[in-house]
Amino acid sequence: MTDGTNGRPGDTRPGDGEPAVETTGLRREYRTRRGPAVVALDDVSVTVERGEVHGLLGPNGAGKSTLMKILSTVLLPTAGSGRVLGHDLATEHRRIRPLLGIVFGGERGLYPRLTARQNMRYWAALYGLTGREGAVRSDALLDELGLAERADDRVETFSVGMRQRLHLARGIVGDPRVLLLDEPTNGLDPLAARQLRELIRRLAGEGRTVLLATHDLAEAEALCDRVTMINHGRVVAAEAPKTLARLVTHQERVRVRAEEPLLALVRALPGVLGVEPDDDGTALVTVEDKESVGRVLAFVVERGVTEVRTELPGLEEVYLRLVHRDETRSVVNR
Amino acid sequence: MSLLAAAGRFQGRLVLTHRDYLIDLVRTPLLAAVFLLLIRHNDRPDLLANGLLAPVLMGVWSMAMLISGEVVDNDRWLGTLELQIAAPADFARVVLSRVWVTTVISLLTVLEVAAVAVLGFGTVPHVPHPGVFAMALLATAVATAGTATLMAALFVATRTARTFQNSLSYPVLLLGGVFAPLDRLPEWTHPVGRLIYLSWSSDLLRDALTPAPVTSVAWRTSTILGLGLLTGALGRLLLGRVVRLVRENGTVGLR
Amino acid sequence: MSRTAYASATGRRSRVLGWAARAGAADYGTVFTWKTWLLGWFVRMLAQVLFFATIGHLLGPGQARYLLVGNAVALVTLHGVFASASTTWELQYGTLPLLVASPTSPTLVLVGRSLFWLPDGVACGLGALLILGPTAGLHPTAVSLALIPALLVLVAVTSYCLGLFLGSLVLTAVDLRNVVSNAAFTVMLIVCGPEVPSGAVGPVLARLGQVLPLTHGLLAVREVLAGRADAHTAALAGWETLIGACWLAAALAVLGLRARRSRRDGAALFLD
Repeated sequence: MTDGTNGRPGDTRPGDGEPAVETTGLRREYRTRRGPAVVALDDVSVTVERGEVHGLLGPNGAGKSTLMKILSTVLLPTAGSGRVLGHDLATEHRRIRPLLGIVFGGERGLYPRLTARQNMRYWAALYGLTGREGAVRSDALLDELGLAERADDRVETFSVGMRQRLHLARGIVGDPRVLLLDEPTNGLDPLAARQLRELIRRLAGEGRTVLLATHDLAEAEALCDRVTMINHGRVVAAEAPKTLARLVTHQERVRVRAEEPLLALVRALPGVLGVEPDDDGTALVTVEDKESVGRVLAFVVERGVTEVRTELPGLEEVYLRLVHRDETRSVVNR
Repeated sequence: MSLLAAAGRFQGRLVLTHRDYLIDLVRTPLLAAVFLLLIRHNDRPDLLANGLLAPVLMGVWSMAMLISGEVVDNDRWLGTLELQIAAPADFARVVLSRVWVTTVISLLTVLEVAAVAVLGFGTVPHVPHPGVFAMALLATAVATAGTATLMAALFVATRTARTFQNSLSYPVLLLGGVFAPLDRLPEWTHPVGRLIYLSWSSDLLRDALTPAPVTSVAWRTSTILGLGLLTGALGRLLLGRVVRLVRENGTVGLR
Repeated sequence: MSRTAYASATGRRSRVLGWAARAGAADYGTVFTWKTWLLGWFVRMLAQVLFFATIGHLLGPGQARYLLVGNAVALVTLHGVFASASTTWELQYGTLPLLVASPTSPTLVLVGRSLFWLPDGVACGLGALLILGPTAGLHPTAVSLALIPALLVLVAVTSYCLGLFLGSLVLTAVDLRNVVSNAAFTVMLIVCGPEVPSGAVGPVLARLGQVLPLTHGLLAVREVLAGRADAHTAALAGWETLIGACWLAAALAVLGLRARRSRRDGAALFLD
């Protein structure tokens, strides 16, 4: 995959050391025929370091796709600026385009009447590969993504999962340094989605920068080094999934394998805010601070509990809390 | 009757809002200009009736084909075809009403052609036999609707028929004698041509536009009507069969 | 630009054009098999020419041949102008944003996308002339057999350029594509000379005909068929080429403009 078949002029690594993607105060409005302009993005500043897998997380309609379109150079921002690998998004789109790979979710974006191989070679030509380079690279990618056996079948006969893998193969045919993935697992069944995520992880392992827009928290948590959350076109938070968890709660959590009546005793300890038993025989104990964590740990270990661990809130909870907080704020502001 | 009205309203709205269906209302006046130019340039005012009728009949026929093909096709594409067939209302009647409305709209081409003649060529079309003309036009509309029903049925029944939809234009217009009467074509084409209602319609309508007395009006009108009703009945029969097959197999298509 | 860079850019363009043409041909292949093409499409095209030729028989001496030749060559134009309809196919596949984001101009793809209409059009036009010609006393000579196909290819290409221009206008108005291509073709029947000489339509319409494809190419075909192929014929072909080039330039300009504008205002074009 990193065979570097094509030495494009854009590969001179301009602005080395600059982040892969950096936007400052991006704003995008859509004019509507009647009524005021709709603001899709408002003051969005995002930084994605080279080699990072960065998640763009938010509910549907949050502005993820608009941001992806601006980054893929098909849409200009109304205000603000952005750079991809050191090139300005507004003025240097010709330099950016060869460096980008783009994959949109869903069924569209391939030629249904062409075979998988023909689609690949078509896009290889668009990304400036010569005929032979295109053939070699198409075969290699089809093989790598497990499509070699169906390479000469028309895409219209493919399952959604196969199409999505072909989308991914198409997206990296130009050996891009930055990969933009917009809801790539949309419409996939869980198994196909997992396979696709493994592929994405592998591609990221090859030193590419990946920007992944998704509304799927598990996906972001599984794949991303850092996550930027957007809602209503604004950045709500940008952190590593774990750090993000700390953002919403300063509370500490301890998970213990214990049952009543022991849990009742724990509940009575000073500094314990709550005890929630789960179906799997464990319970989540929320406490005020680090001191209280020690107290709870000592208490349960003394009473013979062997399975104890501290944990952070999952991304799902963070997401809901942050989005909720954002929503209440915008209601208050209105 | 209320079903007829509802399907009619639906089709009317479709034709007026989906601009693709206006194709014949745009093309007909232009075609009229082509034919009237030919007549003027060759100084053959005696062929005026031919020149006026040809674009009208071409428009009426083409619009009926477009609707019976494209609408059924679009419906199939949108997945609404199955729904319509499964709806309790008689599918054949739904199709028939939609075809009817289109045919009525396509009669607007008469006004368009008259306007081109008057405004573009300073020729005021003269109708020496208005009664015959109106009756022939009405019979033509009935026959068009009948034929369109058969076509719609064929298009629903087999996808291959749709491939040939395009081919039903000029061959039919040629054999239907919409400009040059069928009599001008070689003898061997006449049996086929006479099966096409357009050959009777165009002859009768032309006669209605020429001063000489029109002969055997009743017989000729009933031939047009008969052909139209026959094809319509065939179409209905076929639609009934399609609907039954859908209920049995769950899919559209006899293939 | 160095010579090798130029050569590689040209190679890249022709590769993209080739693949785009292949994608278009693949779409076309699902519409027709050679059998349905021959029995359906080709027969319909012949009938169209015959339809006008019979009108010619009715009109007077020489008119059958005039209309037969005119409408046979017009078939070639019909196919070229149809390109405006298939240009919109790209929109249905959702490939436009990806094309725009690629390092190659989407215009190149749109140009290649509908090329498959050209051989079809030339085959129909040539077939009509050869098969139906004798019914109007048209017996092609060796010279005309050599020149006519070349002129038909020229008319196909120039008409295609106009088709691209129309296609660039209706790129996003999918429901207008057939109306526009049909209306344009019928106007060309009036002003470009297949039915009546351009002198018969009045000075204004004649001038319109002068700047449209088909007019000069058709005159050249008529000269060749009349056994009068000379320098004037070559000049007509030259004019036809020039007019086609102008329409191509206009098409490229509109496509480029639309791409730039859609980037700025987020018009539906690429954001479907």
